[in-house]
Amino acid sequence: MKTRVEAPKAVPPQEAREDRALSSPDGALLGRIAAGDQQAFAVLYDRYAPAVLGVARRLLREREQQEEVLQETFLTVWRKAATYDGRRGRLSSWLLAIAHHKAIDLLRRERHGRPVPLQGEPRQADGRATGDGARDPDRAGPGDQGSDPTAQAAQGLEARSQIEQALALLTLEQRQVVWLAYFAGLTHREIAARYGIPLGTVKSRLRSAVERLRDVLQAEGAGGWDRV
Amino acid sequence: MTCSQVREMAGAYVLNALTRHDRQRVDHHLDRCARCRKEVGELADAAALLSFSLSPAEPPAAVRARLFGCLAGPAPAAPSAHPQAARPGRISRRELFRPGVLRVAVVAAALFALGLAGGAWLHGRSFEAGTRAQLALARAESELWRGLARRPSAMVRLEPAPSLRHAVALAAVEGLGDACSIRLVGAGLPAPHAGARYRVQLELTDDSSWEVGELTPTQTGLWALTARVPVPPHRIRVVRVDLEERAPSARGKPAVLLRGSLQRAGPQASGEPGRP
Repeated sequence: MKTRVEAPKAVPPQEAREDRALSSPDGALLGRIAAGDQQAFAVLYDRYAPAVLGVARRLLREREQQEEVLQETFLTVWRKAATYDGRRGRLSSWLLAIAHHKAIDLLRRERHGRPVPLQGEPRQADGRATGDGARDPDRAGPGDQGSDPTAQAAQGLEARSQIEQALALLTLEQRQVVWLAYFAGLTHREIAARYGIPLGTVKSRLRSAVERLRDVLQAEGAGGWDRV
Repeated sequence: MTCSQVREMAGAYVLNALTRHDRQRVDHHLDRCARCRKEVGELADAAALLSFSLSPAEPPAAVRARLFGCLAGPAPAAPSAHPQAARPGRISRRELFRPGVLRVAVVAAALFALGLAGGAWLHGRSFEAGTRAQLALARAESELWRGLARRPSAMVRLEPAPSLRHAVALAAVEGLGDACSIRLVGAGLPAPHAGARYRVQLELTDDSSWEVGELTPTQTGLWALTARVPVPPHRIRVVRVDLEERAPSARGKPAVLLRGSLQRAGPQASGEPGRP
């Protein structure tokens, strides 16, 4: 169903603004989006839609759901641009977090009352399974492009490699809970109940895992990513 | 909810692993506590790394049209995905450098690097070093796309010299008639010593070269340059980054730090490592 979303303040798009928009940093774009500038919104969409759809595709099986997440994520950005708080993370982090949140919501709704499908497992650095099943975010679902099984396998392998490399920064215990939370969509309470881990331990592992990722980024000399 | 309770839940919060009720409680606290907001913001940026590790996907045009159909007012025109794709005589291999293909090339390079690191992997830290290089690549790619308005006609990954094994740079080239626009982002590059600079050079098909400019540090610890040069893209053979002394008296032969070829046959967009 199509709903029309009113801009916070209608500003007619102008050709002259386009060039400026193309080179605008995210923060400047967002200010203009908050003022109802669709041209700026289009630039932001074209910049981040592939990453947003990438998140949706890894978490959701159905193409319709993936596209729903893409559309709803950007509608949320359009509606809430004026309330974005740069102190809560970069714009790209915010945008991807919205996408992840919406995908997780759909995932949780979909599996309501049913156990989490055990289609894959996080792996240790040497490739052995950790023994903790979770939805494999790298599997090719029916919504994936093409039907060539070799291509699908290669696609899964590529993505698995990238995810595993990010997760390889973590200890096995951290990797397990991050996988279950971020890719399988379990809440920290569900992880605790399902795997018999004390809730406090789950919380501390999730936190230390993210801290580890943060420390690696900062150790690279970034001093934290920029805020917009 | 207290600050210590929020900190305890911060990991689950940024990973979207809280129940709706718990999430609302944390949000409520963050609205009022600047210190926790800052700390959680940093963790949110780190958690986004997991999303950045996922392969992007080509969004269907219909979704874009539907999205803008939901907005009030006229929708802006979709940018041309391949503004020059129909024109002959441009970069002949541009299709090979499409972002999707670049992604495959990058991942293939990652898998190759992973294979190389396999032996040392068992010893622990070397694998982490390899992962850092991958993170550098992901960050460079993210930064590159942040500065691009549309899909460029060519992209190339610049491979580092052996002395800079964690460094990587990506260049995007967009044809502008007889000129082109170049955006280059480097990650994992240490600050050059005092009196030196990172200089971006183009090697052209007629064996001449063109100095594009100097890489400058971004606020995020990366190095970047965006410039227009009066050279059509099809004449660019190699994009490279040199380390050069600023003072003419100290200037010898610059060290080639990163190098990538635009004229290479085959789907790999990466160039050959330079030799300082």
